[in-house]
Amino acid sequence: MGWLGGMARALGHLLVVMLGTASLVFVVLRLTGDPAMMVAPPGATLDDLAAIRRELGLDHSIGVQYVEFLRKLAVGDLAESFRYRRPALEIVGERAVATVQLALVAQLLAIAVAIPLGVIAAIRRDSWIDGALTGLATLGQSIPHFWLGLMAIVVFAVHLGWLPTSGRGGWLHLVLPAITLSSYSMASLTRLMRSSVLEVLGSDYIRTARAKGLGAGPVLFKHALKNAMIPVVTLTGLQLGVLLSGAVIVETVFAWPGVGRLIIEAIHTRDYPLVQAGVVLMALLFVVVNQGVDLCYRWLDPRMAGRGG
Amino acid sequence: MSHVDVSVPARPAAVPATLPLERTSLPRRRLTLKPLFGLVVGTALLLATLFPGQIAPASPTDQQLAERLRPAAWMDGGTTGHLLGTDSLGRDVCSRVIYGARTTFLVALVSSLIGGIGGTGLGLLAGYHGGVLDELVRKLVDMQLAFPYLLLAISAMAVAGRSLPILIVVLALSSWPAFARIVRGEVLSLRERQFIEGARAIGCDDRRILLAHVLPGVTASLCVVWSFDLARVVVLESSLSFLGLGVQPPTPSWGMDLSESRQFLQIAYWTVLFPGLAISLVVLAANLVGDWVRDVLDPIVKRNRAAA
Repeated sequence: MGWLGGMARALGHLLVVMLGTASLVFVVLRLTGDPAMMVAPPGATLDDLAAIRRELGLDHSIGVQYVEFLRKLAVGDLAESFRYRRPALEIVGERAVATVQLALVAQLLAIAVAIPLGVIAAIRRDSWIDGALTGLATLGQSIPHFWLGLMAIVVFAVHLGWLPTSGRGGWLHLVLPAITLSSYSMASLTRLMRSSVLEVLGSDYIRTARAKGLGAGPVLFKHALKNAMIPVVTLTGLQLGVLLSGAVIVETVFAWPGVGRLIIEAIHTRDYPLVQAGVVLMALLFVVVNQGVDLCYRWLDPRMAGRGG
Repeated sequence: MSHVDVSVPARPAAVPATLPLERTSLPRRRLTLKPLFGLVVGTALLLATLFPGQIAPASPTDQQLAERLRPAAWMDGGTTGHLLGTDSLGRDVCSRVIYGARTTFLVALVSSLIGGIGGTGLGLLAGYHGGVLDELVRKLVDMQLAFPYLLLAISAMAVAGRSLPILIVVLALSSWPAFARIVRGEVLSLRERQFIEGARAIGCDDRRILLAHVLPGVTASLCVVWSFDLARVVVLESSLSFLGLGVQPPTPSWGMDLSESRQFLQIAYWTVLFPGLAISLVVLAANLVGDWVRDVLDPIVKRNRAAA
């Protein structure tokens, strides 16, 4: 199984997951309520309802509707937003940039901070600095995004006035949302990096490197780090789900105009096609990046290439 | 899909068969900070759940519009009558935090129990029988653990409507994979052990083997998973409530209080500070207890492991 085989399998996996997600969204959104009732203005007559059902294709059997839904999904046609009277996917697409920007900056921030902190905690194991970092990491894993974000607004935007409270603009607008979103990943990555470095430093090949007289610096940077990074890369991929879930919350807190906030707004205006398009797009984003990380991982650790994962 | 194993490591299968007892006795430890913190928060939570009326200074729904947005007692303009201030409708924040504990605690407990029992059951069956079921459970677990579950929860709550039973179902569905994964992994190593073989030899059927012989062997790990899961469910529940998709008013809920008070953040931050602090303390306590139980159960590898 070479590189090409891996790609093919990743693509197949992607298709399966997408189909599963789309079906789930279909079930959740269609079978739990009558969309026509949701679109209909108050006081609509039965005739109006029937007309709406015909227009939305709801007069067909559920099987036909499902096939039709998948067919349209395949060509990127996800119905019109009730509110904006434009294709839902188009609106979601416009907002996706903001979400990707936020998530990317947050993840990079998390990695950039967590790796050095994890290494420091590991080589100063059991010292006060290790205790402080591990404690902070536990705290970071426990404080929910929405509260951290709101408190950050109170301190840095309202009281100190250093940063804008909300919205999207220059880089300054990105600071609070990105830090808030990165908190959980940063904490988990720090803990994982710490334990990973400790584990690698205890292994035989490191002892050999030390035995041949290599100094602490080269042992750490030339031998230990690359292997210690492997679990971190995996976790980075796994955390994408947490990151996207967090993005929904953080975007709502900071009025960040991304897909997450769009979905929440659409829920409150009962704009179901928009909700559906938003969820499907987020899922797509998730699956694509996750597969990318998986490929990266196989490249970083050739031993995994032959295994099913 | 590749994954990091964040579980308690399964005990090696090659334990000497002569050991009379499954478990080695737990090392004696002094009561450290972690479980102490968990104990304090847990007790407070339990008391607030059982006797909110005796602890809270006022009714959580009593609106005193003349007293609205009053700061906490120790701040300028605060009164001792409202220890943690009042919200935008003049309700006592302290009382709402105390009454909110019941919602959070019960919802999280029930959902996590349902999800935990379901996940444990599936994990037992998958690990013990293997085959197609195992493959299916593994794939489902991998997919759901990594997927942004909040998105599904949001869609379900939005369409099915805000109601307590639906909320509990949605939360329970988020719980099962973690349990299933850990239990499956443990069962895989347990089922090869001699005492299982022995049980089979004397004629126990599968059900009896699973419930009487395998299940007790995984309880230790279940405690760990359950603490972490409780923390996670509390966050998910309050996130949904924060988005306006959790429990319905007038039931007091920390997440909902945060969401309602958000617009007054700039002039009355205490209305947001205290409910959020309550959520964070509970989550932190559950995480610390989980950490601690894992350390205690796993003294050898504890140094090299961290939650991910």
